[in-house]
Amino acid sequence: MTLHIDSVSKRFGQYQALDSVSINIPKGELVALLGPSGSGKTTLLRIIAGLETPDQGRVLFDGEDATDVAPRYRQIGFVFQHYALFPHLSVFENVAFGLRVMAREARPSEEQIRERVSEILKLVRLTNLGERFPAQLSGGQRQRVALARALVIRPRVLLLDEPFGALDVTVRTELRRWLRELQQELGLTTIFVTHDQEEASAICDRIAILNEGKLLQTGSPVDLFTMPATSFVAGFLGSANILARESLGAGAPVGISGAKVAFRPADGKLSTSAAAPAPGGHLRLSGTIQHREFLGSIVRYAIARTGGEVQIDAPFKAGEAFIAPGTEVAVDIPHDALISLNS
Amino acid sequence: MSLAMPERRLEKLSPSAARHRPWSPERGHALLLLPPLLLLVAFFVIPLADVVLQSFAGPGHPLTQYERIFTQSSTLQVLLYTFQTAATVTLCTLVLSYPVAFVVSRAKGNLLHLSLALILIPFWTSTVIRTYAWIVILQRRGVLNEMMLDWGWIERPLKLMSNGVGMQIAMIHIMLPFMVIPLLNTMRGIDGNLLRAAAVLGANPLRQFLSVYLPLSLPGVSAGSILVFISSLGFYITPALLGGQKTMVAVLIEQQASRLLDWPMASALATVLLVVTCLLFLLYERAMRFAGGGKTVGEVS
Repeated sequence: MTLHIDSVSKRFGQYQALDSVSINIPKGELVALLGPSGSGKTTLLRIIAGLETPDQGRVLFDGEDATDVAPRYRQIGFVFQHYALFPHLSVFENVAFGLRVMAREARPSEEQIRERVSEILKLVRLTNLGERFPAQLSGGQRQRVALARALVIRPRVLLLDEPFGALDVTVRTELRRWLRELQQELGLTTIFVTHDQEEASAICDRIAILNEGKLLQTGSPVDLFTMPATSFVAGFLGSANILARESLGAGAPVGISGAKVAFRPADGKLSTSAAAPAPGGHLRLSGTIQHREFLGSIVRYAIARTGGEVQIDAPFKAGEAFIAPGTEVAVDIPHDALISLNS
Repeated sequence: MSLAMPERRLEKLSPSAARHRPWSPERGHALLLLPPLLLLVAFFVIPLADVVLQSFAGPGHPLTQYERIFTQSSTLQVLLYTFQTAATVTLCTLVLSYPVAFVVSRAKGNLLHLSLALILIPFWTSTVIRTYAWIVILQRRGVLNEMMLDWGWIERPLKLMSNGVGMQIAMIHIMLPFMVIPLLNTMRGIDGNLLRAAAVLGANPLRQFLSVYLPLSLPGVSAGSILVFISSLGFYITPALLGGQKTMVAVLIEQQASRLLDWPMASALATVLLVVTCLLFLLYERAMRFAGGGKTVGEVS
């Protein structure tokens, strides 16, 4: 199903949760709504589900206005942040719930229910746990039950609210990969909310970045990483050095247009021989080493300079000495690694 | 819990050990239990045992009193009426309390505080005072009859007292907080997302209630019901002041003890009441464990 969100706004009292947000999501895409807490991403997800009504704007399912349709008629799959499994029902009955509550004409027979639930439990690899209760499951298993419960009604769109938030790191990376494979196998339009940029980049077709109720930028993870439009996006997706354009001085290349310039810490090359001239096509910044962090495969140096501190990641090679704090260094950044930012 | 245990703990707590090892509930709990335990034994367990023993005393063989209770139709009727009244009161209290508890469980801020105050203030008021208040309202020339006469709803005052109706009304009123509070406690623990999840899965509001909310609120329903039912079984003041020809068992016990001075009979009746209460409570415990299905009910992540 294609999904259109058309200038949706929502206000809670004095607080503007969403400010005229529009997104189009084509069929079969996995889209992440990424933003810090309070950015409005969960509100947007709840508006798509019908759990919240927008003050302005429309939600279109396959071109049809669904803004005022009650959640129970939308046929969507929703996985809640803490799964919201029914604690008094077994795993099997949790999954069967969406089938049992169907209107009598549409409701499958007991046998069909049994079949469909078993099928979906197999899909989420919980075949033998049907008789268990949610309290007897691990976090990852609960998450998969929640997903099975959402999928059994053959949803037109799958919505997930911080689906991996409550899991520990190893389970999280395993589950997100599995979710991506499942989503592609089913060709299901899926939207998930997260505040974790790594998670979003890892599995999504597209990312929509929200902050303070506004949609800042949408695009593929690579596009957003290489061409962020604002300093917020540049800083949120990976780390970035953001400098005012004037602070670059005479060395500023001609191609740079915005008010600010960003570059990734890995793109700068450190050299201690400041006397040698900068290589062609590079911007040179100079300063002194302020601080050093050893991060395994890289060493991150903080370099103090007039016009703002920058951070540079140098690859770590065993046996090579760190550059001591206080050392005067030059940083050379290739011109094509510089990103113009509007704000 | 044996009484010897606290003393053993005391020996271990030599001054130096007490200084080095911090107090912890695990080590100190037995000591903390001691004062209330002594109080209960002296003023509750021993007198109660005395009552039970007295019920086997009196003339004739030890079970004479019990034989009288279960063969005389008058006492059997009192027992039956007591159970009927307790059941009616419990059911009415539940029906009245459930919606109130539901609304209050959803309330926030001032509304929550106000409604909690409205529930708790009557709860803190003496039962005797509230029973007298109901007499003022329900008596022949009482507030209710006068109002209905003035409005022309009735031509003659209705008999609302001394016939069970008024007694049940007053008992329901007095029992409301005992039902509302356990219900509220359970309902506040129900994750609102569960209902949203049910809605998204296609359940209509009735179905959301029947399949999700009601089963999850059952621990509160049974806790409140058992509390109200057991309290109603032994209720004395309100039946004594508002009751009619038919009496509740507590009133009968009082009559036997202080008017007829038939202490063995009063003791036997009290013992029957005690045993029934204990059995009900055991039954409730069993039911809760069964419904729990391994401690899953009410557990919300």
